[in-house]
Amino acid sequence: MASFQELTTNNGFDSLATPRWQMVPFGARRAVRLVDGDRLAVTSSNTRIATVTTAKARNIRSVTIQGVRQGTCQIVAGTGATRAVLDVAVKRRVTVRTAFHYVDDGRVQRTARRIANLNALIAAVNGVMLPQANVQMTRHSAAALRMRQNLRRVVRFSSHLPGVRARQHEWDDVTDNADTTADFNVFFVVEYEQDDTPLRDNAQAGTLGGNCIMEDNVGEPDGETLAHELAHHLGADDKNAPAGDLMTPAGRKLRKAEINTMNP
Amino acid sequence: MVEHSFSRKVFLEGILFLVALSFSIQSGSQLAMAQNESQAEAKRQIDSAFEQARNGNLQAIAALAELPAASASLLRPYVHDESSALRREAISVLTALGGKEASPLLVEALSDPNAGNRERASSGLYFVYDPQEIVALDHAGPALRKAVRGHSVSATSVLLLRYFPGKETRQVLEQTRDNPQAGKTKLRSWSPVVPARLPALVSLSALGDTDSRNELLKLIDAADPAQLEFLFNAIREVDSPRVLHALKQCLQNQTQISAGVPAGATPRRRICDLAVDAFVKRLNLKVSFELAEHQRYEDDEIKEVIDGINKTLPR
Repeated sequence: MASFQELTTNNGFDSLATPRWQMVPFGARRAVRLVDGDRLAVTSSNTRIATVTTAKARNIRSVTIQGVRQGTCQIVAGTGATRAVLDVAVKRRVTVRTAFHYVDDGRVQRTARRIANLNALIAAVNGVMLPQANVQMTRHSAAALRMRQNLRRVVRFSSHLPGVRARQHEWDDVTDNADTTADFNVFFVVEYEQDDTPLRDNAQAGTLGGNCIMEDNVGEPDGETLAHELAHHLGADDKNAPAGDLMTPAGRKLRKAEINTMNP
Repeated sequence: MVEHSFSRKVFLEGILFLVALSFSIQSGSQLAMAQNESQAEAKRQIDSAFEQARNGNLQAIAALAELPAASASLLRPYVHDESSALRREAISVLTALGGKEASPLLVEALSDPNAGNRERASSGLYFVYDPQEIVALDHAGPALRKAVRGHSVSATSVLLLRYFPGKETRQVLEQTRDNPQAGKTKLRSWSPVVPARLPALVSLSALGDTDSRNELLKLIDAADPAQLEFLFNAIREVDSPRVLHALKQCLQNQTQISAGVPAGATPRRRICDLAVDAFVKRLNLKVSFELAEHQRYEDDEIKEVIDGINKTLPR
């Protein structure tokens, strides 16, 4: 039986969706592989949304989908019992204009990150988000954030925890400095925690209400961690499986549900 | 003698009046000059920031949020700039500035050729202004209707339309409600996604459409957490006591949501916590506890809100 499969890794294809699913950017193309369908005719259910062309090279039949207009349609190969179906969503680009703040209280709370490395970090984020979700992070502003307040080593989100003193909730003190003209504000700090044990390094970053606080040592590649936080900013939730997905503790893959949440 | 002193007094008062008048004219003109200088300085700052932005450097845009709100009108050329990216920046600065000079320009931006920019302008109007201020703006109703007729439906535009009653508005909202291709939408970037049909139902219900209200009531009974979260975030637009009473049942809903605390932080908030915040603010309920937007509420606090609703809202 014929089936559509991923041709390029992490390019907006979801093999776990039923039918399988492909994100196509508006005005751009995505190619998928058609297996066991060499002789099948391939058509789009709505050519005003997406058109298809096929090609064969090195024994691989590829189907190229061109995004014509924002919307959804199906790509169908063949008819009857052997037919393969691919759901397609053509999505416009979502641009997230991001302000970056390098927190420095003049004492121990002084991020080791440097503005000089920022463009590489943004490129890494976009390497995850653009091909899969047509979401682009752009640099709106970047500057040192000098704070008079002694933040100590750990910046905390703790106002949800009963019994923790209000002054230990430094989240608001930091995020009050957000750039109000940006869509998303990222604050780099030495250490960030959001539970009852601030001296144990459990959290790497936290995102809420247009703000993200991200610590220096995140364990995973920085670009994946920030892409994960950007996904939270756009409404995607954490999950435990499948391993290797962006919204699990480590990975890059985005699924249909997350992409549709971030970029409806 | 008395007459003489009286005329002298009148004379002195006249002199004093003239001195005061001259001083007032002088200080008035000084004030006007200072205002002109301040506007000229704001214009220089805006032009310089946008010139840098045109060359890809957006750093100076952030500082424009610190300008006086009266400077907003100086952004008009950039709201109509040929570059979509610059128009986007102008809309964001207008939203950050707020004030009565910014709102007419945000209405103009509702006709932006770029769907994302239209959505930003609509969000700016929805979240920054009192609805009555928007109603008072020229062309706001037609601009919102045109924006909703467009391909990409923004939840805030649909919700704002409830303040512009009339046949045309009803038609536009009914099209959105009944169009299966209307797609999905969200209130804010981080909000859950809901069908565009939901804000249309809310607006039509607020405009007195019985079918939509009944459908909304049915939907509340079977709503998923995303839809409930949307309804509580948009509770300002719900005016029917029947709908509010139906939403009251969510004060027992313990389903966890992602709003309120960063992902991964526990305890997470629940639908009932969001409902407490929404009802207390919407109905201006007097309660014995303080609202805490990141915390969970105790059972007796939730009960206090239920009692408050029952006392406040007619059935």
